[in-house]
Amino acid sequence: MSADLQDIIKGCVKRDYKYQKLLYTKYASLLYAICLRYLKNTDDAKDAVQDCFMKVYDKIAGFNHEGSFDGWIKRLTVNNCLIVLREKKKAVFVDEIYIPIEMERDEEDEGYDIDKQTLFNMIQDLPDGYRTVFNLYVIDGFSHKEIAEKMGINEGTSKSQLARAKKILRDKITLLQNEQEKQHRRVV
Amino acid sequence: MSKKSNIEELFKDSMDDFRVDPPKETSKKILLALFWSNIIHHYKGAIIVSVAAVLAGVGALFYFNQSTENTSSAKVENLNASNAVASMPSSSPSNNSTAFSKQYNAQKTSVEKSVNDSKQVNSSVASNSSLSTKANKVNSKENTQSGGLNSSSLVSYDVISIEKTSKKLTKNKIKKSSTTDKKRKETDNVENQKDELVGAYGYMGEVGSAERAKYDKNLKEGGFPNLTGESESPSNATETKTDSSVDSLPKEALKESLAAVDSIKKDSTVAKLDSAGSKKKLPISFFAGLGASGYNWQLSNELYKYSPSISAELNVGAQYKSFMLFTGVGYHQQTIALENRVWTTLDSEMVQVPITYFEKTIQKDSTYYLWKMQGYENSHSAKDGRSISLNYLYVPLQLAYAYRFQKHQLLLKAGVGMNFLTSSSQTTVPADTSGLLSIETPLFEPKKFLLDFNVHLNYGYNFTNHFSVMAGVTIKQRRGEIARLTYQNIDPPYRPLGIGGSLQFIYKF
Repeated sequence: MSADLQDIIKGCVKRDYKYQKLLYTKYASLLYAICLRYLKNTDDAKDAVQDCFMKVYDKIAGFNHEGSFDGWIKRLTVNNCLIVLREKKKAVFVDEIYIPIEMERDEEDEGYDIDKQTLFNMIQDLPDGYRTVFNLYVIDGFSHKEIAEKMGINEGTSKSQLARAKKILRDKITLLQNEQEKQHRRVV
Repeated sequence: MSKKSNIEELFKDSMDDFRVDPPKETSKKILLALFWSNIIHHYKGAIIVSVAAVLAGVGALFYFNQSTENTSSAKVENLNASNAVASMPSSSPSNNSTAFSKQYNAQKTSVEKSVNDSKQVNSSVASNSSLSTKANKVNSKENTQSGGLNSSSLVSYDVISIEKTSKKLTKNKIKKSSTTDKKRKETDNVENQKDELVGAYGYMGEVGSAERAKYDKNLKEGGFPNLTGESESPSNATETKTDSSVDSLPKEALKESLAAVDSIKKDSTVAKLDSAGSKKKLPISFFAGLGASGYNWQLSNELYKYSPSISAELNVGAQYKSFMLFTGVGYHQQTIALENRVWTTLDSEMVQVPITYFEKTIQKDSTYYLWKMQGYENSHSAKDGRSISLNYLYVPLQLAYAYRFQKHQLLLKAGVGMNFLTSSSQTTVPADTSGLLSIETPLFEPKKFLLDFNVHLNYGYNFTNHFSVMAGVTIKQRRGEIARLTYQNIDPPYRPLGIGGSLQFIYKF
């Protein structure tokens, strides 16, 4: 942890507006991206990010400096997004039984060349249930067991949601790459 | 751009540090919410106390206002009751008012006594006169107590006019008593005049209306109630016969009497009094003032011990009885002088003075004053130094209690002041720097908003009914001090105490 961040945290613990502002400047874009990734709707994301910062400022005194502050603040944001989803009942999980999907072949994936914004948009376009599990498992590193506990579903459902999400994303990426190749050939 | 072979890795690596800037409006909203959240967090005690004080003040005003209204309405009812009886001797009370009952009983006794003594027709005249006199006495007493132009005097004025009417009616009654039977035929004419009379009674209020109803009823039945409230036929009793002659008064006489009432009512002065008297007016007066105070902040931090402040303010406020509410706008300047500060060093025989200077730096969005200490100098040769002044615009909100004795008064005032930093400046006078070099660099940052709590105890002298001068002592405490020190391991002086004096001029409208 850098000295600057430590000062910011100490300042925030004392509720010093200057340091709170610095913390906001440092993490606003990151937290907003997380909120958008989970909630899709910009209005919900705006509300969630505000709520997150208020919680961060309230709970920052409880941060024990043992782990990474980034990890702490991200986890707090994700939890807050899940609360919003739960309140709005947005994450609808269609499958209750885990059905192995044929397309589970990550090891066979070819190299991809896609920019971050496109990937972000692809995640946002996923159905709510798929998107939530994909975000939790792939990006934020939760296990299926943790996801099942957090979302109130069974592990099988979590796995099937993930598999379906990955299939959709893979198809989209393949389609995108095919189009890119066609365009490249035309140019050549 | 990222090139990954595994779809999970691709998304994880891409999204881990992916950022989207929130809209500016959202940022502003969040920072504003944060600002207010901090204000509430830091000053929640003060906010609770202020809200409670304001609620208590409003409640007290409402309570006192209600009780004042009740008292004055009771007075008016009482007077109306007197009027009704005085001008209508043949009527009985129909109001539950205790005042009215007392008045009525007194009148009844008087009338009965007169009737028993004389057993003549004129006894009613005597009772009428007696009642009128009593009513006048009551009203003149009320007038004396109320001191003139108020609702009581208005009612009294009405009483006098009704009395005049009543006396005229009585005169006519005596004059025309011999032709009673004849005039009874003119009942219809009197009926036509009824509305005009009713107007006069109605003017007196609810009691008059009640009496009017009885009056109407008796007119229809062809008789008047005696003083016990029982109606009798005009042919059965002499007294009643005489009383009923009121009904049979000539039209001209009634017109004359009512014209007199109308002329008084139409009088512009009376009309003015009427509107003023009927208006529900809070007993609140307003004032404006000019105040000045000077004090020194007793800061907990040794570095800022010498910190004089002066302030001037324009006040406006309201007064209810002994309570005064002050608000307004003021200007407050604080000087933090850093020169000539005596520091005791390890060498007890050598008293040294820090040589310091401020360096204004700008870091990102904030401006800081960096206080750099370069060294020490012997106190005897160090007369120059530096100071920084901070200027605040502030809004006071204070509640005061004034204890008066003749022209003197003691005023205890307490409240809050909301201070907004308008500017800060630095005065630097070069000094000969010599001696030790120090590396201490406290960081100084003026606060944009401060809240203070203040208590004033003033002695005042009222030169006139409108103008007074007050002077006294002031104690202030601030939450969130102007300075924040870092790198020194010194706790910032969050709650400095300022002690000083104040002068206040007040003009009451």
